[in-house]
Amino acid sequence: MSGIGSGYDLSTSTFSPDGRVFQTDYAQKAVDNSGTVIGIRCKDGVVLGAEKQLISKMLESNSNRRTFPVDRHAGVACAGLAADGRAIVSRAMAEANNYKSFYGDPIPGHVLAERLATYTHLFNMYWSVRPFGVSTLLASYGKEGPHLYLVEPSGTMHRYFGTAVGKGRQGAKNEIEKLKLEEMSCREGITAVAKILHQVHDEEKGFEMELAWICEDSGRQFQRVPQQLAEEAEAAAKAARLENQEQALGKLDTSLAELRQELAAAAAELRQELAEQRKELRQELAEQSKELAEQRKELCQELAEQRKELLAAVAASEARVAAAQKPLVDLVTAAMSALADSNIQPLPHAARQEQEEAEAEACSGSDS
Amino acid sequence: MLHRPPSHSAAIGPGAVPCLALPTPAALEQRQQLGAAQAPSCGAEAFTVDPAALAGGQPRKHTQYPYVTGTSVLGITYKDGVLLASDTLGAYGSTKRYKSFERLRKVNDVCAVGASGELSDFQYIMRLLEELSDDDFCMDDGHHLKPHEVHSYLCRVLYNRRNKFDPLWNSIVVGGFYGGKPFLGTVGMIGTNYTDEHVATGFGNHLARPLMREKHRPDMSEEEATALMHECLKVCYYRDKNSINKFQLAKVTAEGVTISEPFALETDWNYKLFANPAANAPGTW
Repeated sequence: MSGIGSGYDLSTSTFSPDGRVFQTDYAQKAVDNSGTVIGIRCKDGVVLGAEKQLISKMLESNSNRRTFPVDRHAGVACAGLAADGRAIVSRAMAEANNYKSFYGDPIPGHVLAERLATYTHLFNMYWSVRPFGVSTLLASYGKEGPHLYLVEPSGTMHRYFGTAVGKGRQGAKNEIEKLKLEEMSCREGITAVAKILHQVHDEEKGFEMELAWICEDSGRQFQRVPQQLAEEAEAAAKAARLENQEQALGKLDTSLAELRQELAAAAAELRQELAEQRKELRQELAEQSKELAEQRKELCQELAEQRKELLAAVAASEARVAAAQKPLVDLVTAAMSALADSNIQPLPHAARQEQEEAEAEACSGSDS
Repeated sequence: MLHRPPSHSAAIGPGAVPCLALPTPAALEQRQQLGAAQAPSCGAEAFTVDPAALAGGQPRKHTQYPYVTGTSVLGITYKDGVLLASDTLGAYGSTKRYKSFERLRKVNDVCAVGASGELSDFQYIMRLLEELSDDDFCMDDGHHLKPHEVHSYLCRVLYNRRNKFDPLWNSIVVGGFYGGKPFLGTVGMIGTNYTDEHVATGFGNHLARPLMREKHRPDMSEEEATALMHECLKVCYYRDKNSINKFQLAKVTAEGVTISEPFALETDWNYKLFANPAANAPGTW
């Protein structure tokens, strides 16, 4: 009981607490992963188009069918699991057949759509079955005129002017909204559908397109679009896509050129700014060096003066010392000469110390 | 014919789905398993005797004699295809009751049929054929019933119904053009059938066939064939009281099937023998 569904995704017969039926949602996801299928109702009929992803390179062309007649005046295009689609188609054929044998008239589009929806819905209500992984676009042209219906895995059924299911549905719906379906004939419609299919196909891998229609041109019978017309539509679609790409490329080119220009301008500006800054800096540098030189000169001068002063002071002090020395020397000389005259030996050091101590004691004794 | 086995029910298993999920009601499904290969996929069975009609232990009688009938249908081959012709009368006994009943009908692009006899039975036969060609259309694989297949199918249907003592009261002409060759065949109400270069049903077998034997060639042009057909129609109209001067001509060629608008032929009633029809037949009146 773990995982995203928390156990509520095991059966269509159980709602999740927030009111979803997960199996039905998953069935819808199966449809969302399939190739795009488009339907539009034009003024004189309905056009269905399917993008068939290439299962294998070895696949025969025109196989893996996606559009099926279910009666002369009605047909479907299936998106999703092809096998489930077959089941829907065979049921639709049975319903159409049954209605005709009972009422003697071809089954009206809304009745067929309703019956298909009811049938699809049944598979959302029992634990023992799984919902169909198929969305069915139903085109009919009866007494009520051309109609387009969409029957979804949940069993809902709606009538549309134009709609799309499968991978590229969002883009396709946007494109369909731009079409003027009320003024468009089916002949124009097949080209429009082909263009949209080519536009929303975004993979590198190629695809096969299947077009079917029901309109006056087809004798109000559901048919695949005649090969020649289909090829023309496909060629137009490819050309349009190429043109689109070229346009986009052209736009890119011009924007690139603009960018380049902008870049060049910016570079020039920068360069100029740089040059100016350099100039300023150089000037500043020159000024500063000048200032420095001056300062140096000043300092040198100052230094020289100070030196001179110092030298003078030294000389003066030397002179003073000499002057101070002189009497002393004189005195010493005199003393020496006197000593020499008196012949007195200078006291040895120890005796001198004793003498000094005695003198100090004498001094202290006199004090006390 | 598309064989529709009870796919969903068999795969899912009995009782697992509600009965609405079954493509056809269970009773119908069972009947289909009993049915012959040429049984239609829906509607009533083509070949069974309605048990209700046998309730009294007596065979039913109300379908054993025609009520609203069409008279002769003629057919000839020519160089590029086949021509079928008939008048547009639905006679109620000898009353000219329905004067715009189209008795020549297209089956598909290569085949048309015309019927004389009980017209309600013809309508029923047409429903069978329409169902077949609708199925061919839905299969969308380019295949369709060939004229000789339609012919064989009708032979089986009519013979089978004869075996139920409940015949479809028709003589049918099947005309077609396939593979570059014209096809022309006929089936009687008890399944008798043959193909020929010119065929006719009912009174036409006596009145028109001699003319055809005399004048028909397989390499006739369309104009010659049309002229011969007009002559045959006129002869039939002169002698057959249950016909009217309002005809249709169906043409099957490589281009497909075209069924003409109703037209009338110029007639002349001033022949002496018409004034006294018993002159060469003493004893008649």
